[in-house]
Amino acid sequence: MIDGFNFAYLDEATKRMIRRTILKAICIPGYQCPFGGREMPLAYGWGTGGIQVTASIIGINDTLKVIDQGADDTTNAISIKNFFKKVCKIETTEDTEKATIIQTRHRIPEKKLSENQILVYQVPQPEPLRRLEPKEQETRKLHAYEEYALMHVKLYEEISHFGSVIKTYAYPVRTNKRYITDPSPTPKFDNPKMDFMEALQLFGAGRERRIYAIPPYTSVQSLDFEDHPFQIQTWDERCDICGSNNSYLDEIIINDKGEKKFICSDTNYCEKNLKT
Amino acid sequence: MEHVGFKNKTFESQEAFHLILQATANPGKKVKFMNHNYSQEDLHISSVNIIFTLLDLDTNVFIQSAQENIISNFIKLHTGSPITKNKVESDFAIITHGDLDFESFNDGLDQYPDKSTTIIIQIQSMSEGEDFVLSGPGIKNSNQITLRGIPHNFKEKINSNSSKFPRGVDIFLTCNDELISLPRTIKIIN
Repeated sequence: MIDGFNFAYLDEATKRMIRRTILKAICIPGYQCPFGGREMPLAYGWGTGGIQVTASIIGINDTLKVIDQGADDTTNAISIKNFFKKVCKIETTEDTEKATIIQTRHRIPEKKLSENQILVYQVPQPEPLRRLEPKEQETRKLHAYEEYALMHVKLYEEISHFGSVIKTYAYPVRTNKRYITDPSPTPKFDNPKMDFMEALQLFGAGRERRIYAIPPYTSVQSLDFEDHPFQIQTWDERCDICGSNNSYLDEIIINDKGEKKFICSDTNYCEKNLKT
Repeated sequence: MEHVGFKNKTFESQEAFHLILQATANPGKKVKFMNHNYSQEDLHISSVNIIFTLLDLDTNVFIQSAQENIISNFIKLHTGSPITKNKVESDFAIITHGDLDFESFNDGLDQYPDKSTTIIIQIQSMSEGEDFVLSGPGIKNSNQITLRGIPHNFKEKINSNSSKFPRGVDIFLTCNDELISLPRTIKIIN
């Protein structure tokens, strides 16, 4: 651990404030709790919200896993892991099962999470209604009075224009049958995993200074219509490395001729699948 | 105690917070504070752990107790929290004696339901007494708890609180070194 910093970087007063916010967020599933977001030693958009949440809950016995689009070995994931190694001297892992805290940017691991794990999301824009209503005071009212017609009209318009809802990521969900919530820009493939997940889900938006949460065993329903039920992405291809046909696949261009391959986005899942 | 709050603020408050977080994410689950180093004769060990972990200059505290002055001085010394006589103004309330109704506390605003009071109620037992079956977010199917020394008409009060969702108060029940958290989402179904 480097000298001159408190454990987990943040000072204790800040952690206390974030901890109180996290508790209120859990008590009101899906509601965006404002908090006094601090400036972190990296740019907004690189996970400052997620890092503040992780820093407020992490202890010396925790094992941290960080993923970026499902991968353990990308720049954002590695630098956040190094950051916590530096300021906490904690164990880090790539193994989804061994982690007690998983900080993620835009994916939920394929492996089912358990009750003693916490999933921390990095969220760029916590407000699902923001593109429909730019004023914060207005969106607050819409949430307060459960006035969600705008969102349903938007989905309806997509269906009438394109034949289906075209939103493939950040697909809005309804948490505990009340608040419409942004699942952070995870692919809609991951939405069903949020429903009655055994792990606690915490969301941190650093620039927008909001924290929200979904407790374990909480209903999370993707918005849809009776005659246009919610569907996740499917692929005809299999993963080129491990052969999986049920994980989220990334399309990669492999040469100048435009030939492409599909590989698992969750690198740890892919690795384990290859071994078995 | 020769120091203010936890001696090792960083690690002791993280450990305590981890337990409070677990209790709140899993309502009805009884968690046990292993840290018995801090006590005050009118407060349970779990109440002291919560006070040291969550309270500071930014939280208004309401106290209802036969030992109001002693507790008030203890909190002012260790957390610096302003003490208020006004329930609606309180961020945290600590109840050691007497009945209470949740209505008189702050249940937040429609647009900011998080601005509500968290009530810490000290009770007599979590192993014997009346049985309650809970259901709500954080609970797999249902969860049974046994409590003694709780406010009158507890079931009705909890259910009327949760019917106001998203507004409402959140409750910590403390007994000796144990804590049960009852967020506003929780209903007593039996």
